[in-house]
Amino acid sequence: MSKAEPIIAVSGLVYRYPDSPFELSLNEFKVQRGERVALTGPSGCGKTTLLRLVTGLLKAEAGEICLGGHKVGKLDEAEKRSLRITRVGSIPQELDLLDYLSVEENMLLPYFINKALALTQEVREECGRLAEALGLADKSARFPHQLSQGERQRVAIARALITQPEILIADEPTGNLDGETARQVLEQVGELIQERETTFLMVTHDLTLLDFFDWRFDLGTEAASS
Amino acid sequence: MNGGLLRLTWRYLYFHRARSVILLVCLALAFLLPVYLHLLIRAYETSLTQRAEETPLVLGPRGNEFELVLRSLYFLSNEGSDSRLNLADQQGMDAQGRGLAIPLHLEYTAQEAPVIGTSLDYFEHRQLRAARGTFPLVLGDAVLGHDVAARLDLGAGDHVLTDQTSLYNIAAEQPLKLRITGVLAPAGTPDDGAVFVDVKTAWVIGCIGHGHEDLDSPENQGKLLGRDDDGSPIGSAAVAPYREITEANLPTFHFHGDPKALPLTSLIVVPDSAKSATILKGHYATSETRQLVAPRDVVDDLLAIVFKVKRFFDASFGLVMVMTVLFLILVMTLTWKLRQRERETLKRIGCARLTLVGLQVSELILLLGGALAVALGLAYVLLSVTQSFFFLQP
Repeated sequence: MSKAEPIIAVSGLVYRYPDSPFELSLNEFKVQRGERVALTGPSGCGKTTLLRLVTGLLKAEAGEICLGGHKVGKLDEAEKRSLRITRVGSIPQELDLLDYLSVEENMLLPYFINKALALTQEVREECGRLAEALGLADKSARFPHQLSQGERQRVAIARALITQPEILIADEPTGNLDGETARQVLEQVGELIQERETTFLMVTHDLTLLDFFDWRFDLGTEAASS
Repeated sequence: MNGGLLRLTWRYLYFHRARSVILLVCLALAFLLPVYLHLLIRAYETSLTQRAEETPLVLGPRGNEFELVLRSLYFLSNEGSDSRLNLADQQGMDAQGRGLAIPLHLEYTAQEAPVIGTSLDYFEHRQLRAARGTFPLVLGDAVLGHDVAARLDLGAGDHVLTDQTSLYNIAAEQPLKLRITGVLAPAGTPDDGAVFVDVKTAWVIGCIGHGHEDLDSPENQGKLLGRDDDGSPIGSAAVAPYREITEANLPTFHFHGDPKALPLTSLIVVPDSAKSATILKGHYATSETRQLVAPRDVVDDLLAIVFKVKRFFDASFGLVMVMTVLFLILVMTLTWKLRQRERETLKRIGCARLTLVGLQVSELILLLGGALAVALGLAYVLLSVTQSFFFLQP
């Protein structure tokens, strides 16, 4: 994939949920490597659905989705999974840390469940660096229920970044945080992705955070959803 | 199962440890009874068959063959039994020259341990060796089984009294003071719980043989009432019988009556060949007063009864296991539903569907394995505690 080629390219996309009147139609959406893009739009316009389509968790009815040079629709389940493991870091809308794992173990979780990833000393060191950068260094032995909301969100971010993905996809990661904490978290993420040249696509409702992004894609106006 | 998966499973079980322990204990208890019963019967079978195999043939009075074999192998008391062998049976067996006949006399006890009247051949046949001292070589000598010596805290050079046969009959046999010449090395068999004497000593305990003051000596003339037809002296009630056999009074011990009629409980017969065994069996097959049995055959019959009872228990345990499996399915189904969100998360970060199933399966395997290990451990503890109640001990 050439440097100029978009890392995410969506064209002529159509998706319908079974047994639901919802339909997402999107003519074109492109994100260049290293860009920070805010995905906005009213509730129910299909932001989360678009992220799930891009990462291959949902299958489009029509159109084409390219992720890191791969046509997602042409990949089988194992290839899509491999793509998610190696190229994409994902921060979900709901906090979904595993309550029975410590902070450090939650951060290393991708390495426990994927045979393709080897848990080496370098990975552990990277885990330590991420914890340090996100202010979690002294909390690595704690469990999620012993953390604040902001700290838990940082653990989810660290887990998404531990595999050093090319693309970081976040679904309203700061939605449950107050404005100041949300900004702090985003600044920390910004520093981390800048040094790694990671592309960042984030769903947000908070328009005060838009200055953090290179540009904004408003799905409410760009897409035809019903 | 890879290390990461195992780690996740272990962390999940550990984090929810109260729930895991309850589940594990439930499963362990469901496994415990069948495992324990299986171990108990296996140990029982091994114990019975091993000793039976080491005892080729047993000759005894005709009657219940189970009783004869269990008595001869496990030294169960002969008390109350009127039917006995006698020395003539041993002599008859010796005269046939078809193997070794080892006498067993089982009527008395010493400090509640059975006193076994036998010959030195017994020790050789059972491959018993003296850990301390020697085997009983002289009238009045005794060698203690390992457990008896430990229980009574006695050793070579000490003495042990036989038990009074009847507390309410002052005319009954008085206890005989036995001189301990040795202690046997532990054998893990009923021999550990017995006191061994020469068969003649057993007869002395039963007052069939005795020693007393010399009535021919000048100082005891007043105690001599007369002589019977064969010239033996007839003493008065003032004649003191000896209840301890010492070097000094040993020569005075003697037996009255027909030596061939001296009683024995049974004979362990070690034929010198298969042919001899067959001939001996044939010889006693038609006897109305004697029976020659192979303990292994008798024990097999006994075990067949035990296994019949076990089948009934197995059926009951089968039902319990079905209940347990249904209970486990219920718990696992609920857990699967409860962990729906966790599975979604794992899937999102690249977890394969098979790995998700593997997580649940590994949890089940760990729980079942742990429960089985706990059940096995408990079963062995129970076995060591209870086998003394269930197993045949002297």
